Formats: sequence, C-alpha cells, structure tokens
Amino acid sequence: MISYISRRFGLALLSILGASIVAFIVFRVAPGDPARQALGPFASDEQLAQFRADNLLDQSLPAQYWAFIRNFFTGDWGYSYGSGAKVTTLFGDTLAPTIELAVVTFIVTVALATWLALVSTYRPRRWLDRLINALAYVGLGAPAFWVGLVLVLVFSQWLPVLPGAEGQLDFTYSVPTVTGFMLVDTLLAGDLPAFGNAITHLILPVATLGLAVFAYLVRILRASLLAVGDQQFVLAAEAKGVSRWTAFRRHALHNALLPMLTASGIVLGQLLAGTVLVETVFNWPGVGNLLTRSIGLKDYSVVDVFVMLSATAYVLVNFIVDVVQLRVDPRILQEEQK
Amino acid sequence: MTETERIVAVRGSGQARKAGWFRRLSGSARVSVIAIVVIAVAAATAKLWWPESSDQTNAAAALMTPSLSHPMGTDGLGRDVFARVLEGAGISLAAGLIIAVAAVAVGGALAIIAGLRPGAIDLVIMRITDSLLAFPALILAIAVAAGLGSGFFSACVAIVVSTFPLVTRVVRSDVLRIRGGGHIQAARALGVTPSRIVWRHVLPHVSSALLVQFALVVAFGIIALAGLGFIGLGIQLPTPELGAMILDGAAPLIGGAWWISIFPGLMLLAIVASVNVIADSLRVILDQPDELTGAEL
Repeated sequence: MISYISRRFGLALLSILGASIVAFIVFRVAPGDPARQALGPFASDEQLAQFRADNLLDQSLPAQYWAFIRNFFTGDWGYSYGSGAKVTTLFGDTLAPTIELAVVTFIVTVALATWLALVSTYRPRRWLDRLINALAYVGLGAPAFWVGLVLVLVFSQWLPVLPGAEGQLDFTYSVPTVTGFMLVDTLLAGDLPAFGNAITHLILPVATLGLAVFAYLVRILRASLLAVGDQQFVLAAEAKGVSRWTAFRRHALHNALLPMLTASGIVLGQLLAGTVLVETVFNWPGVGNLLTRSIGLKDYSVVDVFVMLSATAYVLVNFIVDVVQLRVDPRILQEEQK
Repeated sequence: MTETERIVAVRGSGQARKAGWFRRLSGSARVSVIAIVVIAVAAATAKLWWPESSDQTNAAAALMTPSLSHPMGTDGLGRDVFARVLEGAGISLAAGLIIAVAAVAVGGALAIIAGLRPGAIDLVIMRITDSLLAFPALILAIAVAAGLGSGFFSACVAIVVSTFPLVTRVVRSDVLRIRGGGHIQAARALGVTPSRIVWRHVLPHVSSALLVQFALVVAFGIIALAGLGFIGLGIQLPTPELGAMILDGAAPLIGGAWWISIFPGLMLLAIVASVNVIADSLRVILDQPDELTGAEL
C-alpha cells in the first residue's frame, strides 16, 4: 500500500512539474512580447528594457524557468502589472469568497444529487427519469455564465425575490472581516440579519455553479445505484423486512458512493473553471473575478499564478481522492497488482 | 493485399454498420441530427433569406424589443440579434468541427504511436499528456488563449491543446488492448508495413472510440469557445460570437433588455445539447463505455 501511495504521489509531483513547464511555455515562450503587452504601445525602449530586467525576461530560458518555479513555490508572486498590488495580496483577498462559494456549492449539490438519485432509483419513475435526463442535458449544454444571467433575470429582475449581481452582502450591512468567509464572519459578529442576507446572496451563484456539477453527479450516482440495487445483499435486506427505501438508503447507497468519490476530483476541476465564468456574472469578489479582470488588463502576472495554483490544487486533490479511495475500497490494490 | 492478410484483417465495426447509421440512432438523437442540420443550413444561407444584416448598426433602432421585423430584438447598437445569432451559430458549429477534427487527429495519432511503440516514445507522449491533464481543461484553454492573444485561430488552438490529451488517454488504452491481439502480431510476422498496420489493423478498431470522442469534443469546443468569448478571449466583437454576445448583453439585461444575452445562450444550448444527445446515442450504438468524458473536459 505504501508503495502504491508513494508511486501515486510521485506521479502527482511529475504532473505538477509538467504543468509548470506548460504554464511557463504558454506565458514566456508564446509569440508576443510580454513587456510590450504589459506596458502598452506607448512605452519607451528604456521602459521595456527595465521591465524585462525586473521580470528576468532578458535571461536565458532555463534561468527564467528556474526563477518561475522557485518564486511560485516560495510564494514570491511579484506584483500585478496592472494595479501594482502584490499578487499574494490580490489572491489573499479573493481566495476566501471563492472557497466559500465552491464549498457551499459542493455540499448542496452532493446532498441534492444523492437524494434525487435515491428517489429516482429505489422505485422506477419514468417521469422523474426524464426530468433528470433533461436537467442533465441543460446542465451540461448551457454555458454556466448564461444560466447565471437567466437566473438573475428571473429571480432578481422579474420576480424580485433574490439579490442578483450584487456580490456577497447588501451595502446596508457591514461586518468586520475576520476569516473572509462571509457566512462565518457574520456569525462571528453575531449579526443574524446579515447572516441571512449572506445566504440569500449565495443562492443564485450556488445554483448556477452547481447545475453542471449536479447534472454530472446525479448521472454517475444513478448508474451506480441501479447497478448495486439488483445485488443480493440489497434483496436480502428487503427479505428481512426493511422497506425498499431503507434497503436502498442503508445498504445500496454506501456501496454506490465509490464512483462519487472518483468524481469529486473531476468536480473540483468543474468548480475551478466554473468560478472563473460565474463570479463575474454575480460580481462575486473572488479569484475568478480577479482572473477575468486581469485577462482584460493583460495582467499575466496574476494569470500565470492562477493557472499554476489551479493545476497544483487539481493534481493534489486527485491524489488525495486516490488515497481515500484506497482506504475505502482496498480491492483497488489487488486490481492494481494484477 | 494478400489472401492471408485478408483473413487476418479483422473488419472494423464501421464498415458493416455504415448502412443505415441514421436509423440506428435513438429517436431523440435523430431529432438532434435534424436540428443541427437545420441550424447549419439556416446559418449558411442566412444572407439569402433574411433581410437584416448582422453588422449593420442603427442608433435609431437600438435596444428594440423582439417584434416581427426583429424576432430577437436589436442590441445596444441597433443590430438585428436574430441575424447575429444565426451567424454566431455558424461560427460555433464551424469552430466545433475544426477543433474536433484537429483534436481527434492529434490525439488519435499520438495515442496510436504511443500504443504501438512502448518504451521511451510512449513514456514521453504520456508524460506530455499527463502534464496537460494536470489542468482543468477550460483553465488550460484560458491560459493558452491568453498566451496566444485574441482571435479565432488562437482560441481554436487553445481548445485543441486542452482537449487532445483526453482523446489520447482514452484511445491509447484501446490501442493497448488490441495490440496484444493476434491479428496485429500476425500482420507483423507477414511483413506488413507499419503504416498499413495502422490504417488497416488498428484504426478500424479504435474508430468507435474516436467517433464518440469527436462528438464530445465538438460539444466541449463550442461551450469552451463561448466561455473564452465571455471573458474577452478568443473571437472579438463585432464578430457575432455567441459567448461574446452574451457578455455584450449582460449589462443591458440588468436594465431590462434581456433578449441580447438570452437568445445567443438558447442557441448554444440547442446546439450543445443536440451534440451531447447524439454523442450519448453513438456511445450506446458503438458499445463504448459510459465514462462521461464530456463532463471531465
């Protein structure tokens, strides 16, 4: 088992290394002059030379690459070309809202998907199957940012019941920033109305970001439940007198959850990419919004850190998923050895 | 082709099944094929039957609600949204096809090379694909598109770079499975040239996998192109790219002019959902595993 885990970890490190080379190539070697892009068409030659020297662009490629990964892993991310702010500060300010949005979305969608998959499989219901299928095609077929706009239009413009593109909290509330997580901060401040307000601000972004993830998870879990539901131990539980619902919830579900675990790594990728597109729609003050603005300003000092951060997080989470899976289902090890 | 080789050659699934492929599709997949053909033809011939142009601005007719002469209204510059949505649909379909052809060609070729040449070549190819798969696909596409600069071509390249590794991974495992099969060893023993082995003995076996991947990449490519357009990468206004149009309509939408964003999104949804329905049906017909790579992309 140790050798399996260490081999997986080695592969994960290799992937991150490979990813850093890819990111380096994309931003340093690709056609186009980064200095010119950062400083604009009116910069003088001296300014361009100064910029290249500051950002090590005048050195050899291996030296530049070494500086790139050293700086990334030591947290020395430099300054934004656009605003001059430290890139670490920019990410520090925006990470918490994004994590809050992603975590709430993850919890809500996993819970809803599990419930709906159970309800739709323990007893065949054709209309529910069709509804889930249709929802899946909409969830995977509609761009998330457009779904967000539709929700804003319906629930914030036509039936003004929820806040639309208004960030995390109404301006009328003011809560001291402690953790950056609005739900936690409002509770720490003991301000229940603000807590409720923060929740209403989460509903539409979570629904938008969650739709595709939900569509994906429900399909996986349904397929898995249908496969497990026919097996002997579920029938045995029913034969002993528990209801079909209980047999499914207590016995089939546990065994059907394994593919969900595998899927959670992919879900993280969906959430990472989704926040980039969705946060802008809701003026959510997170990393995705920062990235979109930085792209607009051609501020690649922010973009490449974001790209490296997401690759690192993605690879590490997939590694953790592998390890947890091994813990949950030791049969994997036997298959691996075959 | 020698007689022996003819016996050894296992006919690919494609040839026997070619007849009546349309009838083999599920009912909803047939509807989807027709829908896509109709959209493609309508987009290609729009100039012949639709009087409004997609790029003629008219300040006097800005932000008009949908009506008979402008069924999808007009945008902030008075351009006809219907004409723009049609042209945008054509651009999306064309881009999706170009991207999928390139991704499947590159990904498939690398998969076959890696699968048939174990050792150093396989290792190098798989390390490269793993490095690219370390990113969520859309984020890699954003990075490459940001690095290459805006434009149709760089957007397509960016999406190809972010999709071909998955094609490679899926198809390589297929190649590895058939490599051990007797017919390839027999062909080698008979002195069949490597290129002939690839074309006659390997490709037919992976054509099903390639076809399903092709459909999935078309769907992802169209969505990704719109996503790049929405964050200001890829194709730039005034070209009516659907994602960029949705972005263009986001501010008017808050002010009540919902039609500028909503209709391009509906068009995207119609196209991508149709492609996904076809992909699902193909997967069933061709007996391909339900790996949901579409969501992985």
